[in-house]
Amino acid sequence: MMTVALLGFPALGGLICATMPEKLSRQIALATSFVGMAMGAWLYVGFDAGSPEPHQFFVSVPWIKSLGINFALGIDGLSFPFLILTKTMIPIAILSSWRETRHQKFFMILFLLLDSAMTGTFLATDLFLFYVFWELMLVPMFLLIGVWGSKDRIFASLKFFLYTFTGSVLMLVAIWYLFGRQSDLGIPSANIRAFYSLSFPVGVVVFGLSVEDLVFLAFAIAFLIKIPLFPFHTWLPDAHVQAPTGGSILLAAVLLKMGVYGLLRFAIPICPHSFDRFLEPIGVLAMVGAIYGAWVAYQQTDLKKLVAYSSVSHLALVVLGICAKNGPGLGGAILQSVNHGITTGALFFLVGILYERRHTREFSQFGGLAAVIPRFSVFLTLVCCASMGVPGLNGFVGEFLILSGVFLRNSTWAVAGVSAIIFGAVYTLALLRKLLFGPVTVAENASMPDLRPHEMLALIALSLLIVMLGVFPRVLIDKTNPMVTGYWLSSVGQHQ
Amino acid sequence: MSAGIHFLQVAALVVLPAIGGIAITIGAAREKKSKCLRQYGYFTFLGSATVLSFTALWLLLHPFQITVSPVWYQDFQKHYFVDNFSFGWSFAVGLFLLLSGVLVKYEFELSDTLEEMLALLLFAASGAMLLVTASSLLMVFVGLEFMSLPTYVLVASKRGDAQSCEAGLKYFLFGAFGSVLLLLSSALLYAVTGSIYFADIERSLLTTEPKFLVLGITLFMGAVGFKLAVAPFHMWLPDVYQGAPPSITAFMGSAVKMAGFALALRVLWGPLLSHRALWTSALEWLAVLAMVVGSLAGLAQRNLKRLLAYSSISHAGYLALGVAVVPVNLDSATLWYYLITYGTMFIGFFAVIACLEHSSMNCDIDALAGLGFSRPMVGLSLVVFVLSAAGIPPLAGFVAKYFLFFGVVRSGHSLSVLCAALTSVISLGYYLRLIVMLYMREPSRAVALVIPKAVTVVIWFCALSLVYLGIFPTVLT
Repeated sequence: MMTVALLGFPALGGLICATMPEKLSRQIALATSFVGMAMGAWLYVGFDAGSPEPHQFFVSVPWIKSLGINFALGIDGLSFPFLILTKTMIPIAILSSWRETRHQKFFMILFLLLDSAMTGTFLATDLFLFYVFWELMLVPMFLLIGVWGSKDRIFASLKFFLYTFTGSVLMLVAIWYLFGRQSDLGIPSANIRAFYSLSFPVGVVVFGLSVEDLVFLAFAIAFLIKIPLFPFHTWLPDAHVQAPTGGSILLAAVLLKMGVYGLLRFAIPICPHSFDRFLEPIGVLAMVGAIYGAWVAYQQTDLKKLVAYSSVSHLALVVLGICAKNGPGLGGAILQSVNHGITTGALFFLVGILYERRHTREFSQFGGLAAVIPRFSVFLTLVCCASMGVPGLNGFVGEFLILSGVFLRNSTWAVAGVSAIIFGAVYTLALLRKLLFGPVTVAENASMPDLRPHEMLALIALSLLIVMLGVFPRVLIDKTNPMVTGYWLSSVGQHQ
Repeated sequence: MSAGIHFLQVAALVVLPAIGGIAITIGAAREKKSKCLRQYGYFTFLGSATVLSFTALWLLLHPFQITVSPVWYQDFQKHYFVDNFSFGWSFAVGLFLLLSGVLVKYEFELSDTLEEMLALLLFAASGAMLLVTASSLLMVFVGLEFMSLPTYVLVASKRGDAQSCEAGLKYFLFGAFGSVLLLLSSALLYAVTGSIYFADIERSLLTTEPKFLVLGITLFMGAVGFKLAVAPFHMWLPDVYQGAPPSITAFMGSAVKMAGFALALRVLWGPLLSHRALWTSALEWLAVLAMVVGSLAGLAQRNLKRLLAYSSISHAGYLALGVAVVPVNLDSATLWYYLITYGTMFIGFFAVIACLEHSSMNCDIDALAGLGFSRPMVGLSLVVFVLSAAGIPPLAGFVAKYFLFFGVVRSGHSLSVLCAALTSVISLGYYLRLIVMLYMREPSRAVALVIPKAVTVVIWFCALSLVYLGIFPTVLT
């Protein structure tokens, strides 16, 4: 029941919001999201990491019997961290959009719908249901970017939709193939784990690729576009820059992590031999992406674009961790995903505050803010340190684990990874310097108001999380460790 | 007596609307003189259409058991099928008839030809049902003509509008040509097999490998191509859909298309199945061409009606791909479901277009500007229609596409499905443009959109059924 509540409650909140007058919509949405967060907390307590059950809080209702498709929801060690992240970031996103006045009711309803769709993606234990939520997620995001975004919002929203949809559609063809193969071999069942033991026909089909390779590529491309991995990242800067603050937060914190989740849940376990085969190319792309993202970020004059490219760089490091194909690499990747979500969410929140005050994102328009808005500066410095990977804050643990795992596999990659982290420090420190320190160069900045109550609330919460995860990462690692240690063994073992 | 019951099942579907049409026509003449019979025509129409749909539905759920018929009847019995296919597809046609009839009434309320139009609509539906139940070449032709001739007139029925006239004439010429092709192919089939009944044709084709068969099948494909507007036979569709009154286009895009596909299925998956090697790959190529043309050409359209016409072409391509694949992993129920969802979307969208036209806005994409916020419910319904056409879950359009292409992939035609998937992405370009227009543009005019209650009901019904069918698809199977 918990899973159904997690999924349905935001949608219910959206319905209530639709029927209530517009001036209550923000409060209703925020209340709904807090309830969601509370449910997430309850989930955290109730989740038993060491349990042998494949899915906990499992709910299954037969849906389309002829294809073995059920409306099945469940949580396991892999979906757990992402789910908690989603539920935590939704209130933050709503708080960041507190002062949005255009079509407020519709805005909040879209956030809640997006919440439901994202939750559903992580909760689905049925391949068809996963795909439904995966696609469904695109529509509210498209509308959020397109209606409430900046100057080039329509272009950015269309690019976002079409780019990710292309990947999804390729994945759909692969899903059809998988279902067909399953029906050929036995009783159809759309449960995800049923596909892990699916065998593929051997032999080269086209361009030296086997059927398993093609299926892997179809899935991988869809997820790598989402992550986004270089060179499939070109939709991200546009989408992030043009999106409203709340949309950017959710995009960075949650939507990008879905690519990681998809890789780990589908692409790798279903086609493990192909993953071995494509490990090197993907690892190289991750390496290049990490360094490239950092270099391009340093060149940016637009605040949000810098953060967007920093996302590209950080998440490339996450993919590198996955490609290490060992415990520390994977554990670090998952941990870093969650950490990056929190940190980048906070970063977009802060950037959004500046945009809301001055309606510009150019660096040249800011400067010397530390003297004018000290509280803001404290939080910005904290979040930037976390983003850089300063020990004691959450960014460090994930990066450390990833690099230790990668070093075990390939020391060249590890060197590249460390370089990317160093370059990351370069642009982040440049960001701090240009925004906060030095004299106040633009007159309007001198009278900028400091953090408002709702902004303080969100930032304090985020900072607490950042520090807690940095000092005491066990809160997350304990829950995911059993899954991580068993992951590489199980996914390969079943296909022997 | 069983012969009577047998006949009753089909007659209910075919004769009833014809009687309704006649009744309306007779009544129309009298109504003009008597004021108290004012709504007579409309209510007769509604009654006929509703009885029709429910009879078909009831027959679908409770088919009679046929026992032996007397000899004198058996000859006539061979001309039509009595099976789930007939009833299911007839039910769909009846449903679309009902919905488009409401639109016709609204659009032509002030015109003096309303009753005639409703009568013609009933005749057309009657013909469509005849086509769906036909099991002989003769009945196929009769049904096709019975359906098409009233439709030609209906398309041209907006008096004083040059576009409507041109559309009617164009449709008539193209349709007549298609009928000629059908007749020629029927003649050849008869010459080769010596019988007009599908059962006999099927039997004789199993054993022989006649030379004229290729010509016959080619001509039949041409006829089917015209009727379904698959590329490259699609040239007439955008002009006809644009020129015809929106309510009639709604009927054409749903019911007539349904009947056309029923024709294709009955013949290609019936007697011609044994020679599938002759037509399968040809139809597959036509389908791929239709998908590509429909999606690429649609990107250039500024007029809503033409845009939907090209979307119709690309959907016909997806369906034709389903027909091209041998029915091992795919059955007609999948195509039926797809056509129902597409027809519902089409009627709902054209209901909104009818209101746009009636409020004397032009039917360009700009007419939708800002509608999402000025009329939230209409905007929401349009979003449902557009996303269903594009194939976004959890709407019925996605489920229909899913089932259809799953069957095609299982039959091994993965490359065509890849093509279909990519053209879906391309066609999203113009579907999303509509949503952009709804929510992301400011309205340019202050003209208010007037939507009468009956049309609102139609729009809501279509939107809600698409959502419902998307979440509970097994209701129909």
